[in-house]
Amino acid sequence: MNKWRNLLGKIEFHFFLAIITVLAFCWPFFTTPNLSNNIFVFYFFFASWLTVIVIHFLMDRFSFDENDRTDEEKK
Amino acid sequence: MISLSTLIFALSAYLLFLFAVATYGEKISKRPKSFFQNPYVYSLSLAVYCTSWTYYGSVGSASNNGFLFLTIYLGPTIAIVLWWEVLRKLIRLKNRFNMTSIVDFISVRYDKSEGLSILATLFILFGLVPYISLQLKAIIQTISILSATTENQMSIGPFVVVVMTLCPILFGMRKLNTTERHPGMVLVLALECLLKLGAFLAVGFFVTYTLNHGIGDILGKIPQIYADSSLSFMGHGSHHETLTWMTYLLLGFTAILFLPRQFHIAVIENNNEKHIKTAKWVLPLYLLLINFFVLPIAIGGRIAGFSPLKADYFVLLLAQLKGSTAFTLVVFLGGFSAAAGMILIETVTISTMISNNIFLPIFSRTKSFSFMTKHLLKLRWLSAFLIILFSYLYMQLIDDKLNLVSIGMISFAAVLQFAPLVIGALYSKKGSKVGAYVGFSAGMIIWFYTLVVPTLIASGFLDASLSSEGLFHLSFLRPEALFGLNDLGYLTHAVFWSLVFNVSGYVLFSLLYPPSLSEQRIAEEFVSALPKEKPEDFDLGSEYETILLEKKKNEFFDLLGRYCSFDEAHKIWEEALLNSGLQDKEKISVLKLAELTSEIEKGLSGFIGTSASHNSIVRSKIIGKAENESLLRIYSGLLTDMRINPAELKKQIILYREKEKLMHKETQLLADLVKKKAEELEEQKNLMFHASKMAALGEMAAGIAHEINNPLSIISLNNHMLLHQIEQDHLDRDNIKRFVKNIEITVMRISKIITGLRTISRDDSNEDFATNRFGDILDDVLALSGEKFKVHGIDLRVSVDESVADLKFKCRRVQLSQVLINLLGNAYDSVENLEHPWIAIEAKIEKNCLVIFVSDAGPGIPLELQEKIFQPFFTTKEVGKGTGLGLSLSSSIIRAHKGEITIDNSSPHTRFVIKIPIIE
Repeated sequence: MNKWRNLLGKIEFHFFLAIITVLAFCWPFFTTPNLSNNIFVFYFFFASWLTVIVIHFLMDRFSFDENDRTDEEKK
Repeated sequence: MISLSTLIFALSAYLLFLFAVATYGEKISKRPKSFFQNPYVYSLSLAVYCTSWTYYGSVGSASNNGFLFLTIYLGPTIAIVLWWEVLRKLIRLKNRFNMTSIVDFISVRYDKSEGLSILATLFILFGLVPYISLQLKAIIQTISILSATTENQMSIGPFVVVVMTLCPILFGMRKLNTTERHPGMVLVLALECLLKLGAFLAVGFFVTYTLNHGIGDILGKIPQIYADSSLSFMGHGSHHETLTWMTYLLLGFTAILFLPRQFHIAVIENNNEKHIKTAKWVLPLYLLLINFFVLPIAIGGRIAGFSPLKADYFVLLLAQLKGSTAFTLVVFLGGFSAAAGMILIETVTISTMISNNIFLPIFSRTKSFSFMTKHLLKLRWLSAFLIILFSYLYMQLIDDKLNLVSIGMISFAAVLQFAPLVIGALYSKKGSKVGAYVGFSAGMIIWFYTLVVPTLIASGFLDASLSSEGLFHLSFLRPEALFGLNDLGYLTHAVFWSLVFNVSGYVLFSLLYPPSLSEQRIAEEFVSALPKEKPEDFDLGSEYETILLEKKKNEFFDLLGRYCSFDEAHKIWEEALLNSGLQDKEKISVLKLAELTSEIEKGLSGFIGTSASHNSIVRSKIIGKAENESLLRIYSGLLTDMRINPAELKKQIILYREKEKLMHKETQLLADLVKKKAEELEEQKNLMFHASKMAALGEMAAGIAHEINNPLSIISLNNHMLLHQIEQDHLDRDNIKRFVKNIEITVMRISKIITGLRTISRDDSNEDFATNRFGDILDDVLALSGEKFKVHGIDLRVSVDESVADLKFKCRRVQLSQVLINLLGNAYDSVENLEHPWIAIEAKIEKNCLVIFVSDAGPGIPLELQEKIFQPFFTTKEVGKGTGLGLSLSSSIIRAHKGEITIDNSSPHTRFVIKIPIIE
């Protein structure tokens, strides 16, 4: 469990997530044909957006990074 | 339709409610667990990013460009992923340098440059006035739409200007110290954000599920509505669309933090960096919710039959279809909140920049206007009024020639020009003031030429030939096709070229004109802002306290009095004294004066910004010529003492830092190595102890040989006599009894020697302390050494009372015997050649300690040798005779018994004293 908590607190993971987010938010432009009534594109954007939010929520609640803790907390 | 008076009444009531909330917020903010400590209030206030552009403009954009509006919110979502690193760093730097705005941040990093801060302020003013005018336009137009009286626009305009000037003054500029946060304003912003979200969602639900049958139903009607032309940005598009999409993402990415209002809320108003973690999911969630119904509303408006030209106000027009005045009013107030929130915070930040970075430097330098510096707060109010007025005039000038989104994107592209400077400041030590000047100016000029000039041409303010023929009739200087690049779309084109010039200028000129020493020092602090460890204070040592503090206090108060009230000046002074550790001082040194001045500068920067504060201090000449020279002398003296010139000092500092990094890396390795060495040393110590013991036993070998050989001779002699009597058949009962008795005594004596030898050769260093009788320890020692002394004619005097011999105490028997054998062995070596050799052992109990004296006939140990003889491998004996370990080990054994071994210098002879506490 602590492995996952540590991962959520790692700066490298944040950068990785940022890159994945960029890819996700641009993906329909490289893949989906010009279907103006394509409801999939609509839900794809909001679903990927929601996924990022959920990961951020988990970071807020569960992330753990020894370097982020103040001296008082370490005590 | 709602009457104008009803709208004005509703607006006034709403503003009064907000004012009450702000006042209440200010009042309770100092309580330990107030809302101000709540991360959700901070997160919601950040949603001031969603202005009327979002509330009304997104729908207009979606109506024409499909999903393109989303990029303005997806870009921030990407940026927010990195906030824990970037925003946290900015917050720490703000706390360290008392920054008041993004311009202040840039100014501090680039050598507290006044010129750069003026340039950046003017650019922000120029770049964001259109954005504020956009908000004013939204308020005025929605009032006109609801009251259905376009004639009233002229009369509504001045009313809105007055109201929008009063809002920032009442909510955010009632006091001067801008580094103090504005809890009331933050609470108001959070409430406004909740209202606009609620109102927008209500309209979204109404349009999607009351007027239509869900999202699928609305999106399914797109082909019918857009029968003539397909809606762009709905899927796989041209490379032009893809590039525009990515440009918008980039602009959204930078705007969420570098827009002055966002920087103010996210950085300046933050009171706990842990709130970032909550904001990282609350803000994107807010953005998602407020955008979810944008496309349904945009299409829903078209389905309801509204003209595409009115798409910017579909939200309000559709709300009216519900037929409820209350519902329409709530939706209107939601839109008003979106616009007013942005105007409120943007005006507060820009007017602070203008007063600190433009008015103040001018008034400080002009004697006839110097009195104005006393009225800084009023100057700020005046700035706020001018910003709103200019925005209103801009709105009148441009009118309907540009839509909301176009205006907004021009402002976003302006803000993008700050990105290279800020990112360079946070992550590079090589960016210099000159690089910042050149890069920023170049980006600014290209932004103006490629984005503003085309809009001025489109609005008819400039000749259209400029667009078709280019500047000076040079076709490669056409504003929308600079250097022949004409296939990118106007925004992508402008963003591309402005960034190329900006970044190139910044990098190239930073390399050509590297940062000065003072810049390097600040750059170091900026880059390494995240680690928690603070550098240790450097004590400069001998200083002369000759400067009267009272005199300097008056000078500081004269300076502070120019910008703030007496009470505020007093507060700054007290804090500066406390931070410099100068309370209760009458006179101070010049170094302390420099420290105090730095603290005062920091305090003053809260009122007038860091750049203006720095320049005011410099101009005030509080550190006079003589003090400057003293400072110079001290620093020069330090350099001279160090036999180093400034360039070498710099090299040394760099070298030291490199070493520090290396040391940090090697620490773990060293720790492991030390642990391993400690184990090896312990092993070596045990080996040494054993070797020493063996050496002592070896030295005793001769004595032991005598010890055993003599009794054996006695046994042999008695045996021989016994045999002789048997052979002669002359058995005398008494003689036989005497011979046998002699043999028995002698065998017992040998047995005793062997027992002592076995005891002394045993290793008990790892055993626990056991209770032993002192007399037994002494017997072990004497059994082994006694005969040796007797053979060599050395008089061994043992003087131990029965009570002392019977003393039982906790110790390691073998180790104590070893100590006594060592001392006796040394004594033997020193007296063996004397004419009357003697060795004495005495013991007594004194203050719950057993005190043992080992003396000999020698003349004593010279003082210069007394410390050395307890060191390992030190010996005065000839080579091969001593190991040099005996006394060292004896000393460590006695220390292990919590005792001490010393030399009694009061004795005329050599005399060692062992003192061991008695633990029973």
